[in-house]
Amino acid sequence: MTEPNWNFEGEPPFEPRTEAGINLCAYFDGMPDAKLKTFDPVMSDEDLMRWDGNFKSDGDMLLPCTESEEVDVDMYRRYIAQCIRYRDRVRGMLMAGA
Amino acid sequence: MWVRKGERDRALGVDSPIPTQVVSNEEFIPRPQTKKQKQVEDLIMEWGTARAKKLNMSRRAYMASSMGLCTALLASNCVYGQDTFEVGEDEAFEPRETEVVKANGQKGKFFIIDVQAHYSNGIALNFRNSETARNMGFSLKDDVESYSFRTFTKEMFLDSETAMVVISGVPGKEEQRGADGRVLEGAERTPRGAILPSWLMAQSRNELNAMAGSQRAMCQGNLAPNHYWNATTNSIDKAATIEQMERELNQYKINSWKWYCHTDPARTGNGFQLDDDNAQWFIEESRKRGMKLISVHKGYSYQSRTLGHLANPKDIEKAALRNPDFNFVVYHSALKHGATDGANWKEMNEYNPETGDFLWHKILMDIKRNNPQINNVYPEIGSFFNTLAIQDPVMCEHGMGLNIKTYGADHVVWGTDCLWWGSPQWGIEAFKRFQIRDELCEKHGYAKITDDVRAKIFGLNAAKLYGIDVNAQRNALPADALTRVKQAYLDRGGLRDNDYHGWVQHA
Repeated sequence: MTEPNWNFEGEPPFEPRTEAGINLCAYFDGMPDAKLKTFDPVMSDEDLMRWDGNFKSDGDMLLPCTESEEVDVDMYRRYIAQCIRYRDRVRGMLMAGA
Repeated sequence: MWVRKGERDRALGVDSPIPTQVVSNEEFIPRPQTKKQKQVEDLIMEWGTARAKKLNMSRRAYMASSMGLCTALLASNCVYGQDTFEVGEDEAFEPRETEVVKANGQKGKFFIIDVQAHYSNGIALNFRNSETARNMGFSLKDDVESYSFRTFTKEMFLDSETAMVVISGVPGKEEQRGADGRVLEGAERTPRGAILPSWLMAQSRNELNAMAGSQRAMCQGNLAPNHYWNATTNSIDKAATIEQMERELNQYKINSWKWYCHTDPARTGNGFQLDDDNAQWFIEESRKRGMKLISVHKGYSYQSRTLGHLANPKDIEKAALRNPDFNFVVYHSALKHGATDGANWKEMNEYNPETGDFLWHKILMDIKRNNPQINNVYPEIGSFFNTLAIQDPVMCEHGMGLNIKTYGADHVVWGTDCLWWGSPQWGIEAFKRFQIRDELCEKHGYAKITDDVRAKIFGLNAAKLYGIDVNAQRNALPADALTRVKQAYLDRGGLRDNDYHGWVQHA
């Protein structure tokens, strides 16, 4: 199935906009909807890191070219929660146009 | 889960003198090891183990020697079916003059300046507690920062022939004043932590040079046109930028700027371009103060619509034409290697084996092709030569062949992006032996790589950019403390660790 052209990155920021935040939004825009739908917010930090697959052994995320700051699990949870709300809001519209 | 390549190797019992897959410098998602890379790895282990036994050496010692490195390059040639690396079978049993113990700038054929060297307090290091590390004269603090710096010093200077390094910036801005208006100093200026802020690079350079008793290190300054921003007017804060510029030039005495156009340390919501108004204003202010060297990251970028495209090198053209008295060193030779290209990276990078072109390297090449008068742009080859040498030797031949053909052998600059790649010695040995096959030279007009070309790329070009008198340095270094420390280290059996700090997939 063709993935809609998600643009969570283009949404008004829900917290002060940072370079890591911009790149994390772009990261979620590249995540298939089917995978995102399997996200369970109550999973443990360890399970979340395994579920995503892009965390490093030092506990931070490997978010390429995010040079100024690290993305930890807490930040990841804040952004993915907002991304799920965004997709729930626009999914129908984007799928209709896809 | 991503782990450091060294962790992965230890878990699998691999001890390889060259990385057996590309490691991520955190500027792209690590790629899986290819079948050919696994074949190279298996051959290295098989041959290295047998040859060490034949020479009555431990495998550890053999793999840390130039003989082990030659075995690894022979394995690469064998698997890829060509002689990208000019190495003889005899070198796997008997070291040539290039052995580390005889080199380090003073005796080696090449004077090596690495313009892209980083260290990070995030790198797990094994050096501090090793036998050879004790009582070696390091007068460094015993904290995490110096712990990393110590390994940086070991891997750059004791384990490799590198004569001088440029400690290269990682984007991050400094806080200038506390809540009480007091000017902050040192670590106070990066209260939330930072990998390599300007103050720390300058401090490390000074510490290294003081320890050596000669000039072994230079450093860059991170200040860029989007670091100090007036949120009210949504425009550059010129007063704060000038204050920081003068601090980095006069107090830190930086040797070059280091820019990352696609980053946003000041939280402006955007990056910048070399040819925009703010960058030009910065360049003019820097010109007034005598700093005319700009090192800029290009290539390796993320998919963010907002920031990712700003790492495209297209903006170099106008900036170079408009500012012919400045030199622009383009890091990574603008190799794009997108963040999400994974196993199909060649297709994603639009690599054309017929022309040798690939993203965004072609844009950098086109700038010179379209403007032959440009003489102030220098492709730098950190995480370019070493990445391509491991990923695809033919593509590496194209990349280096194009750099030299297009910009000239006197404009290509040696850098490694180590410590991501561990000690840079494997890359040095690889480049000493690197060659472009006849077929590609004939078809594409590439020149053969001669020692004259290698000497320029290894250090003579960087020396001109940084104002280094190579002859004076060659005379000074043999007598300096770092050379003596190196000799003591080698006398006590110090060995290169073959420990790569960049990221790969968990074993």
